[in-house]
Amino acid sequence: MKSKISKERIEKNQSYMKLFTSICVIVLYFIWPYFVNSILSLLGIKEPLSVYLTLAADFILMIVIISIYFDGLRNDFKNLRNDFKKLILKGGKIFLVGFLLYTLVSSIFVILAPNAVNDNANSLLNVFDKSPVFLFIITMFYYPIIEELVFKKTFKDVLTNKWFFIITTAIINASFEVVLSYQNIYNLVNIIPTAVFYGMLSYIYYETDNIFVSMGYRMIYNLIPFLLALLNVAIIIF
Amino acid sequence: MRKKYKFLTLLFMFLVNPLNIDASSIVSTHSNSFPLINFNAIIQYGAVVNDITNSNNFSLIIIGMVVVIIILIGAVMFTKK
Repeated sequence: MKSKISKERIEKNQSYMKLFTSICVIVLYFIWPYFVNSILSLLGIKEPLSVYLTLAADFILMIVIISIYFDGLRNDFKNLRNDFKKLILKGGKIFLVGFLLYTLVSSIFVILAPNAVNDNANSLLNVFDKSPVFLFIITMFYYPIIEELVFKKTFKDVLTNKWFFIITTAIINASFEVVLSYQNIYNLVNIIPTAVFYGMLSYIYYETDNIFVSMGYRMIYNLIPFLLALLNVAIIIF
Repeated sequence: MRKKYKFLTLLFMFLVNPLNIDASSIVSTHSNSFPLINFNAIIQYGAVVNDITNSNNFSLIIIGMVVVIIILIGAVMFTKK
């Protein structure tokens, strides 16, 4: 009886610790850019140096969050190495089905709301205009790693129910993506197709129980618009 | 142009984009090429871009953070009962 009570107490303490860690990671992720920006403003650093220092600061944040989840990530990496083919195939099947579903939902929304524009995608294409390498680095490494950790791992440690985890993380990630970049209230309809995409990544993570798989598929997905933009440059040149 | 020079030119364009080519034109180009599946809606980055110079975004971030924290605390409170 005593051991049962102490076991319950340990489990409760562990869940509170995970909750505390998750809240710290979320607060850190959102406050960090403002903290960095205020320091750069205080020092009077302007573009283009500020852009590179911000990139460096983003990677520092990424390292901090990786170190917070280091043990879990190490286990995931070991599992990935042991079951690489199985995990990638499992994730790949979900990715294909999810991508088709996402394409379908997006196409329906294009018909229903033809004037809705994804301002987030446009703002990233503007980054391409300034520096393609910068865009490549942030979309291939920074965003997939940090967002999978913040919007997926943080939540999976706390939300135990499968569908509650998938739906919640999908809506939260999509809402932040669309709401933080929208220029017109009409464009907020993009939350729904975007949530389908993020839901697919959450599903991959839940089913494989390995954050590197969903990170990998997000990297692959992010490579597509980058290659298209690069192709456009190539077409213009040749 | 020889293949080698084409590749070097492309690499140079990739690194510095000196002509300042509007990459966003790719979206409209492909939208016109594929009218049934609108690339503008499908091909986008999976990334949350936060324009920190926009003061509205700070309020949205605070609201979003509070909502997320409430969800997390609520989930722990209810699942452990």
